[in-house]
Amino acid sequence: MKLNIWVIKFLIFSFFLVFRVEAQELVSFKVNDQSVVFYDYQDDRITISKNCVKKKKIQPCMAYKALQAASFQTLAEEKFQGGANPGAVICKALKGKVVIGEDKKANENSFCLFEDKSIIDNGSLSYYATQNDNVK
Amino acid sequence: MKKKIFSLKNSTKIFLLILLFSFLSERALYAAYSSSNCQYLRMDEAGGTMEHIPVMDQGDTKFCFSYAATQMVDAYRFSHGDGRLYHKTSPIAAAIKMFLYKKDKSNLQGGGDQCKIANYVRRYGSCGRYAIKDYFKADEQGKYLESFIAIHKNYQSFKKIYSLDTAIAAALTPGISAKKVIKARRMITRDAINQVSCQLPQRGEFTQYEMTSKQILKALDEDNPLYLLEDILDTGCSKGGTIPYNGGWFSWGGKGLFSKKYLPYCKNALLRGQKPSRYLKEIHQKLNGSFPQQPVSISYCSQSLKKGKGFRGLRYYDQESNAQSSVKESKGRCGKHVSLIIGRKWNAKTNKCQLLVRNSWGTSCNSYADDWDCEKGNIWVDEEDLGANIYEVKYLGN
Repeated sequence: MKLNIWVIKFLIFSFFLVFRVEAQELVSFKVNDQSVVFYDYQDDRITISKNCVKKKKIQPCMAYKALQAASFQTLAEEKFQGGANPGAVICKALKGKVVIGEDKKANENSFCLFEDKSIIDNGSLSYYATQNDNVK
Repeated sequence: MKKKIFSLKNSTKIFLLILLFSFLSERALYAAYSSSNCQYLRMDEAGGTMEHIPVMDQGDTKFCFSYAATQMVDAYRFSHGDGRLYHKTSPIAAAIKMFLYKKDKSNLQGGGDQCKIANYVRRYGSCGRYAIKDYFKADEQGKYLESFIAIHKNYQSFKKIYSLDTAIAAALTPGISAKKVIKARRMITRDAINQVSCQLPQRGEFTQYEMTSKQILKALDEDNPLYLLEDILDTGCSKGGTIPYNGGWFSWGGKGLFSKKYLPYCKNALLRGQKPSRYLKEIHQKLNGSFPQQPVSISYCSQSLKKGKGFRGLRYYDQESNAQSSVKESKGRCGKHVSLIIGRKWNAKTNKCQLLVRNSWGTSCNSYADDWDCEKGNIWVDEEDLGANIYEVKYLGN
């Protein structure tokens, strides 16, 4: 009988653990031949490198600060010609370096790498640039 | 009297019921008709034409048309017996080689023709993505291109002055003697060569490639700055080989044990100036007509992906003007772009047909509108909204 309770406890704990891991939405990409883990905050549309997050909260790293500075307004239209990824164009304007990450299935995604080695998804930059411009 | 009123009311009720029924049945009939023309199709699923083609991200490069074209080429190869799945065509190499071939400098500013790329690859073969990765490190795709172009531009502008007769050049530059002109010319040449050498991949890092001063000077002297990259590309490409070699490949079947297959020509199916319904009809015809189904390339307003339902990025002019100029993008609104259609589904919730857009902005879904479902960089968009933002349709084959 005691054993059964322990089994149930173990199962509940395992379920809880699995659920927690899924809720964290961790994704990993190979960037510059190194595996980089990202936190994906889908509701906030932020995918940011693990070195920017402490106890699930985003720290004020350069990548996070870039979200506040992102804007399309100051950028010339020519920079978006040829279908350039809008987030990558903003990244360059914010003095970041455009890097391409590759997942296990060789799918690509471009990120913006800053001097403090924090990295943010270019899609997040593009989304926040639109939001910031709408507020202005 | 009472009976009459009741009967009147009943007749009104019956009339209203009939009206409601006919309205609903019309809606149901419309939905049934539309859904029958919107059969489920998904090329990136197992067994689909795009199964082995990953989502790509063009970063800040301006070659969206090449990303679309090379994926069309690979989809055709892989679905027609070419088993060399490791060789995925490099969009950057294909674009640069095609520009060099066409001697077209204008395309460097962005924009180009996906059919020109596909037809170039058909004829001259392609460079594998991994074969040139060492040279155009994926993390810095645009770096070499940009710096080469800048150095070339500077060199060419100096050359314009100093390539004149020494005496004339000296006369044009007050206070500078002919001797100094000769000295300056040498210095500029040396500086340009040094600059290019510094920008090239480091010797220790990329031992396969070294460019001599002579080669650099020859490349600098060319009108097109892209010649600077040709040597690098050729070295990298020869490592991985060009595919399809001689325009074709061998696969099982046909008359013999093996038969030779060729890439079909790329077709400019519909250019500017058509109505949205015409573009959609063409897309559906292609999706229904070919087997195995091939992706369809569209030139459209990318803002429709970000702005969502109801966005219209194109301005329609009167029919009197000619077809090519009858549609113009609304300034600053459209965001001209090229992507592929790789799927189709009927959305039973909204009673609308949706098309699956394979974009070249990576797997992230963060930048797209809430109206559209996004799955790892592939976006489901209502055909009505997409059709209104399309201005060209192209694909491989008839």
